[in-house]
Amino acid sequence: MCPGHPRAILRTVLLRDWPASRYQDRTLGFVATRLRRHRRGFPGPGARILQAADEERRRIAQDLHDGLQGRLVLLAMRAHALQADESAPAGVRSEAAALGSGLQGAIAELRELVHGVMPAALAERGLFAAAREIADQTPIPVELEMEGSGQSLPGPVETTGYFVLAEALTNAVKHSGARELVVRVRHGDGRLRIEVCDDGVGGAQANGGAGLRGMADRVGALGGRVAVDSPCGRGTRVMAEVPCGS
Amino acid sequence: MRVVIGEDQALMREGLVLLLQRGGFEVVGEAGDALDLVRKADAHRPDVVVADIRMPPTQTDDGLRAALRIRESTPRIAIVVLSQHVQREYAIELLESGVGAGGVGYLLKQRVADADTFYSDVRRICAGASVLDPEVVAAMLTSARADDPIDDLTARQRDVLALMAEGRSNTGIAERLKLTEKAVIKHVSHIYDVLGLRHTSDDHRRVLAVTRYLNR
Repeated sequence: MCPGHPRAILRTVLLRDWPASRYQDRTLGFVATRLRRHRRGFPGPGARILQAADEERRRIAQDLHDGLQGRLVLLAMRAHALQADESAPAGVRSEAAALGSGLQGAIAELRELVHGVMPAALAERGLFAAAREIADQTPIPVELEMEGSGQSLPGPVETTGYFVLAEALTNAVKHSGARELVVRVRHGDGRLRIEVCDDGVGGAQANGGAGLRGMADRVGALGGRVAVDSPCGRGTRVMAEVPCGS
Repeated sequence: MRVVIGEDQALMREGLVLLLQRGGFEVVGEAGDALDLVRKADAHRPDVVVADIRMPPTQTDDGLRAALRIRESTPRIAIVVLSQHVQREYAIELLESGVGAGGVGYLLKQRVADADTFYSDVRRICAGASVLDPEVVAAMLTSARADDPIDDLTARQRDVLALMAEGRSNTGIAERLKLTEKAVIKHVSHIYDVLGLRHTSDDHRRVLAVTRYLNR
């Protein structure tokens, strides 16, 4: 069975830690059929779950933006106004100052939280803008190459692409000891392809850490695949490919 | 000073109106979406437009795009965009939107809470300054680049560049860093050299320096 065969992917994605059994093989056969159907354009159950999760993330981020963030800013405005009010007692003014700076801290924390749920660059401008932003914030210099439009990608493909980038870049920063990274994002021929290469120590395994496994799960649920090439001492290359219909 | 406000959240819009009125600004128009913002800016020709980046119709970067359109058709109108997060890309687009009589500002929304600082920022922007939020400036100074020109700057010169990006004048920078104005001028000219702006005699070399740095 070739590694790209749906059943092989499922085995890595779903059952990697389980002993094989006939029951599982039957289940695998069933799910693999669904996966093949998905590749022909029918959304499978995994894709539908990701789609729902993606919509939920976008909604939560928008709600926090429209509701809580604005309310906290308005409260901070009142605290600062009270602090500046010369007719108020000194004790009240200093309390208001403490309240104001506490609110500023809460707003900053909420901003981080919202970023974790759905990065603003992704929600506002899509995957390519978010890729530029995340490359920009990586503490190792990144050479970023992008091809295609990156526009009108389905939501779950876009968020999964971002997840792959974030995960691969985080791993490279934490473990590779690399001096430079190359990131390629290509959108075309009905696929989104992402590649993150470093010139670090290598030796990473596709099923080694929870991060890479999570990446394979998400990509696999959308009918795509992840490959990791990481010979010892010769850098790491993470490649992900997701069908996107355009 | 006459202001048009673009903000889709009604409570926040009212808050901004009251805040700016208290600061002596005259609010001549309020818009709840990007199309209305462009219309009202066109109709009222204010001194400054204060707009949230995320607005209807698409709830993405509509406010920013509206601000850039206003800037294109009437460059003398100063622009202040507010956002709950800041991005280098947006800062570049604003700074590159052309230098008009009015300046541009890109601030985190929470900065409006400190009213006096906000008023003085808006006034400086109206007077032609380009003001970036300290958060954008911090991100721009920490992002990693191969062959980074910043490696040729001393820590002091980086401080000066950061304050230039926040729209401070040489006098303002001297005050902040407790330096003489002469020393600041020397640092600024070294920054121009490093960023390849030595032979530019443009009045807006400060903005160019920041843009070039953001674009590196």
